[in-house]
Amino acid sequence: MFRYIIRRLLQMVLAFFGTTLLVYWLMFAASGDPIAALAGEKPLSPSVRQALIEEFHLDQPFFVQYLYYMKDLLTFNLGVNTSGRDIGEIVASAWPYTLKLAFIAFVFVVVVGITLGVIVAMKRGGIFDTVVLLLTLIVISIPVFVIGSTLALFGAKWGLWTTNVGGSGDLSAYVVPALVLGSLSLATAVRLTRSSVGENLRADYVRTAKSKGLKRSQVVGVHVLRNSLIPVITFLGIELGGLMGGAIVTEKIFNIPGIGFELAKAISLEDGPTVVTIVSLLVIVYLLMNLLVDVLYAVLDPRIRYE
Amino acid sequence: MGKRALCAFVSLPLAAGVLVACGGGDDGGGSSEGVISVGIGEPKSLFVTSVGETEGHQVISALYSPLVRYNDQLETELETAESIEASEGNKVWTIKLKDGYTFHNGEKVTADSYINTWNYGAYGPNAQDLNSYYNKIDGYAALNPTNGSTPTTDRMSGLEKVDDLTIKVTLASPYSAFDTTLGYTNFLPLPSVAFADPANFQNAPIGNGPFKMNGTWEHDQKISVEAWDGYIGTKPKIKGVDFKIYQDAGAQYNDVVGGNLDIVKTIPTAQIGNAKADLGDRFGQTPSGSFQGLAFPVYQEEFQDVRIRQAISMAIDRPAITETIFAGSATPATSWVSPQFPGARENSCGEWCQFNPTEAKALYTAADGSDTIQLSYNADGGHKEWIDATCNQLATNLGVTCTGNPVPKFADLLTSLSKKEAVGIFRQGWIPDYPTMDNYLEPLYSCNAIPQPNYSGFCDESFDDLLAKGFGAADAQASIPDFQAAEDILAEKLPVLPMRFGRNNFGYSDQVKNVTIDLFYELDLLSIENA
Repeated sequence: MFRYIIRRLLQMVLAFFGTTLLVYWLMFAASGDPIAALAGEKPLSPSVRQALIEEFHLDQPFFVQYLYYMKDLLTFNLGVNTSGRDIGEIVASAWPYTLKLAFIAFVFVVVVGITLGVIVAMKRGGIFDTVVLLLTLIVISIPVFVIGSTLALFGAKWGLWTTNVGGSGDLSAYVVPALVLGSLSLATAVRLTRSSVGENLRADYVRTAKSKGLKRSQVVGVHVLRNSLIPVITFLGIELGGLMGGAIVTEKIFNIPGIGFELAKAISLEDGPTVVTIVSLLVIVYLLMNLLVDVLYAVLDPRIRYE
Repeated sequence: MGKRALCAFVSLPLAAGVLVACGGGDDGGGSSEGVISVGIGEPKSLFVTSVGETEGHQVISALYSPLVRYNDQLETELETAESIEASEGNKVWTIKLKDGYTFHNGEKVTADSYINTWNYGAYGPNAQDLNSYYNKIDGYAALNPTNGSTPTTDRMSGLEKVDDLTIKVTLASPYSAFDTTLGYTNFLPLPSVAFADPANFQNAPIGNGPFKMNGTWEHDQKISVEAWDGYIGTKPKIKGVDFKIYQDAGAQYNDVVGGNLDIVKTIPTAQIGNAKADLGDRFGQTPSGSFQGLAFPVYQEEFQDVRIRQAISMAIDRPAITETIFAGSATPATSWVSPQFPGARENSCGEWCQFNPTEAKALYTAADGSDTIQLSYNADGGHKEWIDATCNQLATNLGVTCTGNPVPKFADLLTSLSKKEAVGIFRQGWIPDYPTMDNYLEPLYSCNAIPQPNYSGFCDESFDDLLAKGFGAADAQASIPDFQAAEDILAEKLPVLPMRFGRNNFGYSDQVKNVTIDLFYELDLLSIENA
């Protein structure tokens, strides 16, 4: 196990360099003229343009620019973005908001998703099952920005909940945005748990357990749940990574100054260094989540061994 | 009310973090008594020589007091200047400062505060966004060598300190409206502490204006300012302003409707239809100076014949577009200079900007116009709807195939233009900085503004001569006939078709009154009162 983790960590280093190179190249290829993007439609004098080009090494070929960037990154100097703000500071101030949001959304997905999924699997075919399935279908089919904007509008119009989270430290303000962010994962989690539990309920070992005279709660709680949760945990692990980086829309609607918003802003300003830094961080989060999921796998399922 | 007052009382001596907690509470307005909240986007910079966008400008206008201000008729009035006199045919300007102004930190505002700031802004290697705004001052060129070398001096020869309160400015060439331009951000003063560490200074700028910073700039969250007791000019009627930073105008609007924000400066077009119902008489509209036009690249053969440009102009039904696409949030433009500007006229474009499909079709056929027209625009600015509507009108009225050509960003359009690619007609926008007719005419249509912002590349000697004549006129008033004559040349040559002028569509809560936004998208913080 230990050797496995070490090997995975080494692979992560490679993956990290690969992604930064790829993302850096994409930003390089996609951005026409970062300085013009920065200036908008107002004129910028040639001397200022020259000074900015030199500051950000924009006159250098791609690999030289990339090496400059990596040199800064590896010396933990994240540099400044094109409007002169420290990138490390941007990330440090934005991360906590996104973490709060993702955490609440995740708890919501885990608790409600698995509970509902188990209940509907036990009452398969009943009215409750049908209603829940229909609701999850609706949530899956409506784009998240529609759900978000509608909830924001209702909240504002009737004063039901905070629609402008801003820099609020109050956790309750994040509940509705987290519901919006987690809604899609929730619906998927319900459906996944339902089918997984349903499948295991029909398995031979469950019949054996039943015929041994075990109580229903024991059968479900000990035998079914543990086996059913393996695919669900894989899904949840990947989702947690997604929730942390994929909150661009939700953060915009509810005005949360998190990582998703900073990323969107940096992309629109063609601010290469900031985009690459944030994406690299997200990549690390994803990789760590993947590793965590794989390790949990072995814990949940003794048949799996990593050696 | 009691709770809110208590919150203000408790939080005053505490850190800004506590204020945020109060704001998040259920006390409605979200700010303490007498303090209003205004929605803005995250400013790019708060260092005056680098504030070229409207969000930062709004904050700067609270913290700093300019040499001159513009009244309701957009006439120039002295603010921190005692007098501004021109001599030698508008080439030399003597600015006398009013005595008694100090910065928020107690430093006296002197001629040096201005001269040092202007030199800092004009010095090329400092890479300040407003660098080009000093280009009329003598000696600017020496600070901005075009060959990439380091300038040999960091002081413009045209700036001279006569005494502590008098500045003599020598321009490179006469400019009759120089006193009006002194109201723009780049001509504000900075205290001497600003230059030691500009990046840090802008987190809590120290100004000479009616408000001072309350805490520091909380990036992506909030900038708080409070009325400053030491201000000797007209004092504001409110105790302070919380500029709340939003990422989305829609969220601002929702918060004003829900009573969590006092002022939204721009209501999104999608919400304008229901703004009247949501806000009643707290929905306001004022004219904006923002100009949208369609420009013809001079290098493209198919637009060389002026009759083709006239025909295309007459084939566009401007009022239909402003009504259907913009829900009345913009006005059709029939001139190149906003009619609100002193000396400007409502319909300088004449018959060419009136919708006349029959005449247009006849003229287009007679000039042997091309079968296809392409309209290029940047896709990130919400221009698709009106470009498509314009294209449909051209297709219907001229019998051509018209296609909209979105490019990701305006910068990409500029790249295509510089390579002389066949982009077809392209959209062009402009927001003036100060109320003189030449602020539209010179940057967009004069020969020496090529390649930018004169993106179409229009260059006409008589036009430039008329501008130069206006710049040398006795005063701003006397220059108007020359500028009007120059605008008439645009009507004759049609290098750019006026499409529409914007409107400020704003809304406010029942906690404030006397809310107004000027032609330059600036909220007047001195007239706002608590309701």
